[in-house]
Amino acid sequence: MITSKNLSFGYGRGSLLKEVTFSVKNGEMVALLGHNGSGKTTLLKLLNGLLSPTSGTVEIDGSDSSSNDARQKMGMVFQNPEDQLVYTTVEEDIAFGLENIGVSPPEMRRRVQSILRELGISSLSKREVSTLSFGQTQLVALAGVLALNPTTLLFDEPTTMLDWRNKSVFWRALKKIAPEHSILFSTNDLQDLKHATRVLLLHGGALLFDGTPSQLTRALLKRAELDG
Amino acid sequence: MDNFLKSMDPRTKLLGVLLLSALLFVKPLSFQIFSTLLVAFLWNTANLSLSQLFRALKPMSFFFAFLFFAYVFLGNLAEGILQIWRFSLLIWIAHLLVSTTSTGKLVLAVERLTRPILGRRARTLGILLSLTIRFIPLLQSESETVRDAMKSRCLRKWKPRHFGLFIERMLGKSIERVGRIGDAFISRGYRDQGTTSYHSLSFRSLDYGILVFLAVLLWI
Repeated sequence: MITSKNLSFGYGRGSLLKEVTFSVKNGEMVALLGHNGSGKTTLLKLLNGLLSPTSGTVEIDGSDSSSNDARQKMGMVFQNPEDQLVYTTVEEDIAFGLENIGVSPPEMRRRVQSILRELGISSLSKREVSTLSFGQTQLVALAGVLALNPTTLLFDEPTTMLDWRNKSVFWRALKKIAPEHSILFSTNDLQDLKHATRVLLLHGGALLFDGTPSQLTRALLKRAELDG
Repeated sequence: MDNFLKSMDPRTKLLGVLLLSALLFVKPLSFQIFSTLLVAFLWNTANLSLSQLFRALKPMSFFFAFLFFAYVFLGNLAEGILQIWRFSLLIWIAHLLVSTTSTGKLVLAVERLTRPILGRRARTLGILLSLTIRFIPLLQSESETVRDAMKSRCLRKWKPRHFGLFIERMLGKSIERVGRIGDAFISRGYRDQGTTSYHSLSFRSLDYGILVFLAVLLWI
């Protein structure tokens, strides 16, 4: 579970996030909606402990997000997943995080094969990462994150660079793992909201809306009526 | 036979590459001829194509041209050709290592070989090597994109300021990428101690045989 309380980043007029408070429970798939520059990536980096907040707190299952305990419970897939692959073959790269936490080699091999099967990409196991399509690269990055058995998953604009076919493969994979995880994904594509159980609308660094996609649609329609 | 190089312990391969590379610069011409025959044999054994032989040299073409003209200018063409041949051998030997060893194994080999000297920093050195192998092709592809973007905006003749713009753009992209890789490392829990490895390494009789062969080469 993610809990963000009065989270701010930056000072004065340069403030990128202002007093953002929300939570994402286990089994929820929450969309973080906002224009470019609205603070989505900053918020995700704060949640992942890559940035330290100016004020406020982030907790992952009750632990501070920058602690080792929280870091192991949380995984993030970057906007360009190519940047987060370290090794040149798929199975080795999935094992990278497991090497870091000192998992034994037999257990590591078992977990890598299991996660490849779960995501339906076992055939990619021995492939060079440089030969993968963008969609496949994203699934491999996700596999690398899932291998660590996180409870919380963060995605920075996961579908921006995917074609319709890869988008559907991605959402299928995500829905499969959603019940056991707290998932937060940023997007600026309204089409992605149909996959979310809840929406957070970020504007100018402030949280403007927190509710279901249908509540957001009603609120937007009401606003349009008022605007004439 | 085609798995001969792949089944060798990566530490043996790494030591072989380092030793052959060093010997190329201290041994006489006969060693260079011997090395060429050895590279040809290994290239064939590794099932690498002739086109890969030339592709491996492509990124160094500017350096080779510079070397060639420098020696022509100094009036020593024969030495220039020998130097280019020597550097080509170095690149082919390194290419053989990289194309027959996965980076995971290479990282582990570097880590094991350098741990007595570097201690916990040995893993960092191995990972840096892996990142270099992984990101050089990406940087090459990005440099082509920047060049194409400049060409598509009617750049026909490169002037010094265009080279400056190109370098500035590439530096910017590289720095941005380094920042993102750093974030990915933190996010994926990178550590330099208390780690394990996906692979396990073990010397076999083949490796001992090759190490003896390398020792003989050094002694001769």
